[in-house]
Amino acid sequence: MTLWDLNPNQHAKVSKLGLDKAISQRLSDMGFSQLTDVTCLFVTAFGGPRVYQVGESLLSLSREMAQNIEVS
Amino acid sequence: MIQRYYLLGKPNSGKTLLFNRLTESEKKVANYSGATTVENKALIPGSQIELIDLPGFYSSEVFSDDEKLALSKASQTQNADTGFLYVIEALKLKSGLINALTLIKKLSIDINKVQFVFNMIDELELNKINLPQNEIESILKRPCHFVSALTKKNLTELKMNLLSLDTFPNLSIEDLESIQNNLSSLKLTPTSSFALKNSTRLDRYLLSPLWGSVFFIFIMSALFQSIFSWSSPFMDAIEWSLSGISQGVAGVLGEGFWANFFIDGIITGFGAFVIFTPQIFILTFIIKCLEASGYLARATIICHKSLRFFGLSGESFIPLLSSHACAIPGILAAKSIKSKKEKWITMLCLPLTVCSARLPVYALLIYMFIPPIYYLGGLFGSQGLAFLSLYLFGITLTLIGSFLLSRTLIPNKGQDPFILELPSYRWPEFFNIAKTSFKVCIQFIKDAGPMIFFANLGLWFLAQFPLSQTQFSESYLARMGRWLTPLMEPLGLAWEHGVALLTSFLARETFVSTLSTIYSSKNDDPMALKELLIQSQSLTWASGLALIVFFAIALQCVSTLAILKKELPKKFSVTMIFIVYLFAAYTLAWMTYQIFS
Repeated sequence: MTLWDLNPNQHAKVSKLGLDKAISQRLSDMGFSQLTDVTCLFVTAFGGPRVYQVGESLLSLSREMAQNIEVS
Repeated sequence: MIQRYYLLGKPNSGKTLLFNRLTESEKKVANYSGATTVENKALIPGSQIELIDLPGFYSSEVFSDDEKLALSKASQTQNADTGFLYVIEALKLKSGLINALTLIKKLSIDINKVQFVFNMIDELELNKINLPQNEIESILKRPCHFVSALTKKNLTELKMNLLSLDTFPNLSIEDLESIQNNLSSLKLTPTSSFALKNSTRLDRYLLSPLWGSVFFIFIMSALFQSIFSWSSPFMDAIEWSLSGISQGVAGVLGEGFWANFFIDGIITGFGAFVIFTPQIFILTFIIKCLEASGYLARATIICHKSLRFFGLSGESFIPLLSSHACAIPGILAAKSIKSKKEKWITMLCLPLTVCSARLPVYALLIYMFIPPIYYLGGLFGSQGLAFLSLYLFGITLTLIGSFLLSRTLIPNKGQDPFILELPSYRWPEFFNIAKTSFKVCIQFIKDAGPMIFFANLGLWFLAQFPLSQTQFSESYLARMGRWLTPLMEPLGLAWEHGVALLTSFLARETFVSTLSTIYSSKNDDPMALKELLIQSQSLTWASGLALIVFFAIALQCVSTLAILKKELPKKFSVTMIFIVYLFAAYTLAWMTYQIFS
């Protein structure tokens, strides 16, 4: 299951960042590291970026990014 | 002794506002990530200590130019006289500190030179949250400052501390490890729920697939419509004052050469431009309010997908919107775009948006051709709607330009690494924004004023001489202007418009003041330019449209060309960009005239 598959208000834990090293590092520094709790908050129109809560932050990720983050 | 402090921190942690407060500067602040794209430097008043504000960064892996700049400064500045102020949003204290300590370690920043500044404590107070300040300080073993740059709380203490020579125990790399471990055991009131509560309540509507899009369209339409509707009374007041000044001058000097010089050469020419400052004020004010509220980051998400189709991304939205005030801040804002190709496309197409310098020309043509009709009790007006459609025309041209570029010269269909942190919603500081917008207007007059003044003076002399002339058509200006006739005729324009177009390459606004000088030299009765133009019957619907198309495309702005030359790689020749824009402007204006005449 990927982050993109989460429905609004659904929680999960990040299990794997399947993006290239630089982007994974950046996501990790922004709070998206393994075992972090993440909640999908908002789904926007036309398949646009979705909004997730990670710790104290609201982060928005595009489909391409979210589909490469595995959650469980 | 420390002589220089760098402000480090995540984007949107309030570094620039803190910099402004400590150095009494007025650098641009906004409530979204990436508002600062260059380094700002200034001395702290009353000291020799320099403060340097850097763009924010999240990670040691950086993509955009502004982040690269910040990272290079942070990691290479190891001089003994350099210190760092690490700014962290107080409501995100724990995650902010974890991120800061990770980066300090990765970038090999000497922890002994770092002081922590926890900013925005006003938001903690608002939510009645108490931070265990002593515990935090004892864990970090470094100076910690709990401040609010917005309300100026504890800023004097921070300033005094920076100027003092207090010493703290030296820490080693091992100490940094233990600090990180101790931090994880720090128990804090769950601040996240407070930070997110307000945002999520509003975002439920503002980001919803249906209402989010409706609100976005409404707010953008209201923005561009209001520029015209709200400014009308102020423009009338300026027109009335200028006419009063002209009459006063005429009363003192009577008729003759000097009265003509002051009224037609100076007041008319300069006034023709000054009259449009209310529109510039309203546009700047609304854009700055949107920036401060935190809504622009949401707008970025809403339009990301659509902009991708045109070879841009959500990150291009803020530069595009800013360029409606002026292309230069728009180009600087584009520096924070992570993808190189998207950044180039955004910068190359930005000059097609309707900047404030185009306003006077469009406003004049709308006043001439569109009669004022009001709908919904005056909420919407025909002239305002015409203005809105011109803004939409500019946006359409920008999107067509970026679409073509992304599919030809700068192919851009690659990855879509879009990540954006959403800021909390905040009330804009209306008074300060009004003050800044007023300063923008003054700066606008100062920048364009001298050029307009001297261009008009030159034109006025050419229109008045030789003194033996019995008719205006015998003046030097008319004789020279007639050389432009072969170029203007295919667009349905007269030589007068040709002269005005020529001077508009100095600055777009000069177009209106040039026409004003020419037509008032031709006519003895003092009247507003729109009336002079209507009376002269020199512009038809088709030629007016051709003129709009020419102005919408041509890149008549020396400052924009200079900044494009600085920010774009060498492979993009600025002369070539100018020629391509000019060729497209002339050709499409010609086609417009041929279709509508």
